[in-house]
Amino acid sequence: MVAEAPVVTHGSPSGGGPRGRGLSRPGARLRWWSERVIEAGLLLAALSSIGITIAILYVLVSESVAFFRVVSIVDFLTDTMWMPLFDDARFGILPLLAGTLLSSGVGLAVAVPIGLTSALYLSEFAAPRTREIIKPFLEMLAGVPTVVYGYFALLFVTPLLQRWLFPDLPGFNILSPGLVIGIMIIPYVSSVSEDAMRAVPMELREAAFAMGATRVEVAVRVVLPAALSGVAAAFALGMSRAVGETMVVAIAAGQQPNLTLDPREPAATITAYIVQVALGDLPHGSIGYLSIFAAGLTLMLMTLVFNVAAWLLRRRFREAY
Amino acid sequence: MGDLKAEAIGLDFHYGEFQALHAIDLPIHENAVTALIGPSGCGKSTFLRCCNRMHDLYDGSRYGGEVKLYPDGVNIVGDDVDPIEMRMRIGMVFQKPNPFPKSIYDNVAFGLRTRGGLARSEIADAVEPALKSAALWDEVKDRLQESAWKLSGGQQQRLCIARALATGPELLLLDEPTSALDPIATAGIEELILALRKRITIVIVTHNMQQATRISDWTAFFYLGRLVEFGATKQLFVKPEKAETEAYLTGRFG
Ligand SMILES: Nc1ncnc2c1ncn2[C@@H]1O[C@H](COP(=O)(O)OP(=O)(O)O)[C@@H](O)[C@H]1O
Ligand SMILES: [Mg+2]
Repeated sequence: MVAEAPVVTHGSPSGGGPRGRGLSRPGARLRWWSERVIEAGLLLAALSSIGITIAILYVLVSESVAFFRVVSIVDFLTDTMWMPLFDDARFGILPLLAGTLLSSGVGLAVAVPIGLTSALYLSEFAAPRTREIIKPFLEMLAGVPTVVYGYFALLFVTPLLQRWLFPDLPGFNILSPGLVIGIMIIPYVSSVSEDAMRAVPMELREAAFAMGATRVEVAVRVVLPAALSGVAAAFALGMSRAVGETMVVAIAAGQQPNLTLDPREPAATITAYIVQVALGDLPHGSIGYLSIFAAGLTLMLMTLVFNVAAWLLRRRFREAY
Repeated sequence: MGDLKAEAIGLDFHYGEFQALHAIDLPIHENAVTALIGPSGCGKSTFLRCCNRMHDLYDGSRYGGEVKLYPDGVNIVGDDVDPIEMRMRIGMVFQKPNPFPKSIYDNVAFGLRTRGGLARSEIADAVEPALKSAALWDEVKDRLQESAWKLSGGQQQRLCIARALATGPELLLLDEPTSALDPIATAGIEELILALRKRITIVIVTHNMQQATRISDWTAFFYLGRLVEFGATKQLFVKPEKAETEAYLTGRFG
């Protein structure tokens, strides 16, 4: 509602006195220069992120090129085995990709419904005070160190699953770190979706209320569809976080590459493989060592795809109003 | 000119500490157009939004007095009255066209689906007449599944009217429905209101006095949260009884 009132103002707004700003004033030149310097410094800081991204890409690509001189791209993409340490080494990314997609998939299956529901609750139902209490807790989930999540998965969630759901579940498996990754990315999914929901203009809600809709109907039938592209962006962001998650899977999934679609099996993800090798004692320059760059490049491209998708979707939802 | 469809009796309204309406007594005649005029901030929208309990959505709102809705004479702003039930009987169209980000069809069907218990075919049967009543059918009949946001501003506003009409409201509230539209679209909406006025009771807020004279049967002049004068539109514009009304009509303030 616009707060408008018939206000009559008398006199003119009081100004801040005379505003002489002659260039001849001493110090003006100095100020001009110092402003240029500050501006250049700021620009440099802004450009550094671009520079760093390019540097990372450069390292990944150049080392990957060395890798792909030995292993063909076709083998890399189609071979079903990843056995870098054997004499007769094989470098098929599929098992690692399967592990990555499986753990992220489990994570999203947890994070999307919970994140979305909490976003709807916070945006459409919670009183401001309730919101102020709940939000910091949600954000705290994102602040817990991932090592802690890893041990939480290994030492708490896995035994719990073994006890109540799957007695035969191996100690290392994809399911448990997947669930924990899900908990970890709830705040990303919920805060981006909540922003999208809060950006839905009040007039749309009022239109629905005026037709006799209840709060639940307004949330589900008006706010959610109106925020859809923002919500989709939240999924993409969550996915890119899940795909890149390392510590939890490295700790709790076992580090055995395993081409499987069953999350109850142990498996390795791209990220888990990379830390394993990077921390191991493979000689620099060996093909096994180079393979982590090819794997890293694959991961970066995947993340890029999800981030671009998120960006495109978010731009679309900004344009909507 | 007919019976009363609604009637405000001693209606007060508070936004928190601030009293925006003071003891409003205003009859709403059935199947006629009542225009609410007055300078900006005088309480026109506030009054309109009392009639469908819109203020309930915001904390700190407080009603006093009554707004009776006939024939049953229920007090719309009564504490024990379900606001959702009242809103289902009353339609509202806002200042800025606000169609849902859904198809044209789904916009019109929204209110019917909210009521529940209607078969698909019953909903389909109600969409076409609603669009026809809003003089939009010919323009959209071949693209009912397209997004409503692709329509022009004037079309969107007529869609909002169709959306409100689809559920057969007893009372239609319009809050400056043409203030965001160009003159041609405005003329379209005015024509539509004239076509509807024998069938449905309309209350319209307008800051455009020519518009009030063109489309309304009755006019209420609000000033500083009070109803200053109410009368047949012709009479009020030609021979206002109160000095304040005359001052406003002759452009001496507001
Ligand atoms: N949400 C609100 N909270 C507090 N005061 C409000 C609110 N909305 C409107 N008002 C005040 O109530 C008075 C009437 O407003 P309104 O009914 O919107 O006027 P009009 O529609 O006639 O321009 C104004 O003084 C306005 O500032
Ligand atoms: Mg208003």
